[in-house]
Amino acid sequence: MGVAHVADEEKLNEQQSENGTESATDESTQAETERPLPPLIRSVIDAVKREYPSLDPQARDDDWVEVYVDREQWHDVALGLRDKLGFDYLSLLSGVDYQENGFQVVYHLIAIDSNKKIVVKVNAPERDEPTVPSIMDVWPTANFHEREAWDMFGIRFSGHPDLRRILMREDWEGHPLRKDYVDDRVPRERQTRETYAEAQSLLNRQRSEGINH
Amino acid sequence: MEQSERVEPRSTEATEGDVTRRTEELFINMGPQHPSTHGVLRVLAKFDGEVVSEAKADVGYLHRCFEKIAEKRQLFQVIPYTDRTDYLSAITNELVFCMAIEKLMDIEVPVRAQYIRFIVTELQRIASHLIWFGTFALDLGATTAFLYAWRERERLLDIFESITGARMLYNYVRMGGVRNDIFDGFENTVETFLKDLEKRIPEYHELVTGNRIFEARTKGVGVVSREDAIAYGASGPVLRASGVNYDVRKVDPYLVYDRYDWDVPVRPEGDVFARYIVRMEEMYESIKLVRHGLADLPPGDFVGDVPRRIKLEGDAYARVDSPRGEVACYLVGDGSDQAYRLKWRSPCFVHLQMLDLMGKGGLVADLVASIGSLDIVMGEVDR
Repeated sequence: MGVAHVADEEKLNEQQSENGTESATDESTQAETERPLPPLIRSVIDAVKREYPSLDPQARDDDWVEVYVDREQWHDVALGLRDKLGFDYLSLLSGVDYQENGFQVVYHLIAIDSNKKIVVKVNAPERDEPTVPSIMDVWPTANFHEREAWDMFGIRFSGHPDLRRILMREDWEGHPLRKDYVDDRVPRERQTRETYAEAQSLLNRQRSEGINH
Repeated sequence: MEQSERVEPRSTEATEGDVTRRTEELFINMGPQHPSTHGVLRVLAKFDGEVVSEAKADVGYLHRCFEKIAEKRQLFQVIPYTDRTDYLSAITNELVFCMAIEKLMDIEVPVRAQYIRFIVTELQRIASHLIWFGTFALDLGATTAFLYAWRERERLLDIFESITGARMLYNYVRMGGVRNDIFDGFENTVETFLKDLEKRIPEYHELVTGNRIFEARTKGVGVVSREDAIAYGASGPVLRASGVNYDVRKVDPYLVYDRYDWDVPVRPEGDVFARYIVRMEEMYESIKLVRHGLADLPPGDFVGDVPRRIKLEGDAYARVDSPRGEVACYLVGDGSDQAYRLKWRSPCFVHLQMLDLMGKGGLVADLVASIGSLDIVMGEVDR
């Protein structure tokens, strides 16, 4: 995955040789845990496992660590991630609609000083009123992001003090980025050569009859 | 700026006197049509006398469903839409979107294409900072700087037009490379421009930086502490002006940023003036980087091999440092050739949350200076 971005020949070769050794160790040990991970990713996984043994952080093939967290414990984990593991920067909070699998809120967290990175995914399976705890008190930047996720997906963030629509009008009905959202406004008539010619001839006729607009 | 006698640097006595004299709280709508809000930003401001007691941003006036449209179009059709989010720095938007696709699909970008992207990105940063410098000075009442900055930007836009065919909305970065190669004599054209710009930036400083009124209106105004900047998700020059040495180009190098030695301007003060200085210094760094890029521009293809059948699977997060901050793109694919979900991180959207923090306790004019120093583009905020 990193290969696509580096495109530096030396690094490419390094990567390939690394891949080579990787597959060799895989064959010999047959264990995923033996795969050599970059030390930064290793340290994030170890730290998360140490603090929260119930979580299962996985290394992604880009340089992020991915972890699924239950929404019941998410607020506590969020506080721990910030205070114990140093993830002080929320880069992005995005809502995703996985239709029958429910909604998912994805948090991209960064530790500014060490550049550790982790993706937290929190699932909310209900269709009508998915609820996820608000983490605005942990990372204040989540305020607008959570309002946007509410606006676009109807995901409720319990504990958010001011959960209003942010991008759509206040009186908008429905949540537009949901996959089952139906836009029932009347479609605008498309202008074609024919309709344009029709309008022009009407205009000309009116002009010749002395009607001025 | 000619009323130098009337405007005094804020003496502590006068302000304290005003604060203690309590008046009725006044609610004022700043915007959505207001010359200093850079578009359709509405600020819900409460005033206690002349002092701002609350300033909240109300956004969404320019919302045009970018993320929804992106789910309904082919990927290459989405690229022009990304231009229109942050229209003053279109290249970085295209770049981050294409980087996300390349990450998902393992497309390799040829080295020459990386260099071309690198050069145009940094030129774009200069253009964006120039327009910011002009409008920011205009916010504070200095008209001349505005015209000077636009003079230089105009030449830069001409260069962009020669490369990409468009002045602002380029549609130039493509999956796996760029749309077309640079033109003959590109190096010389850019070098001439850079030489002139290097002479001009000291002129800007002469015009604005040392000015007593300018300093009085910017120093100590709109202060964001290091902790607040991180907690509120500030990025780019705003974060770096609060004393955090964090630049995506350094910590997560993309393109060819890791090949060169360059500095990240950082200021510890966190006020409007610090943001101003950081951006002005970034222009010098960009000049340096463009020169490096031009010197090392390798021969080769300007676009790599992109599979004919596009299939997005999994999710990817790409981020770049745009002139305004960290622009990022979270792209989810479901195995089809369209994005299942595209979430755009726009730095201005995030920065606007700090308005209350920056404006509180200051005057209306300070609020204008604070908004100006954030360098907001409403097209990006509302998407």
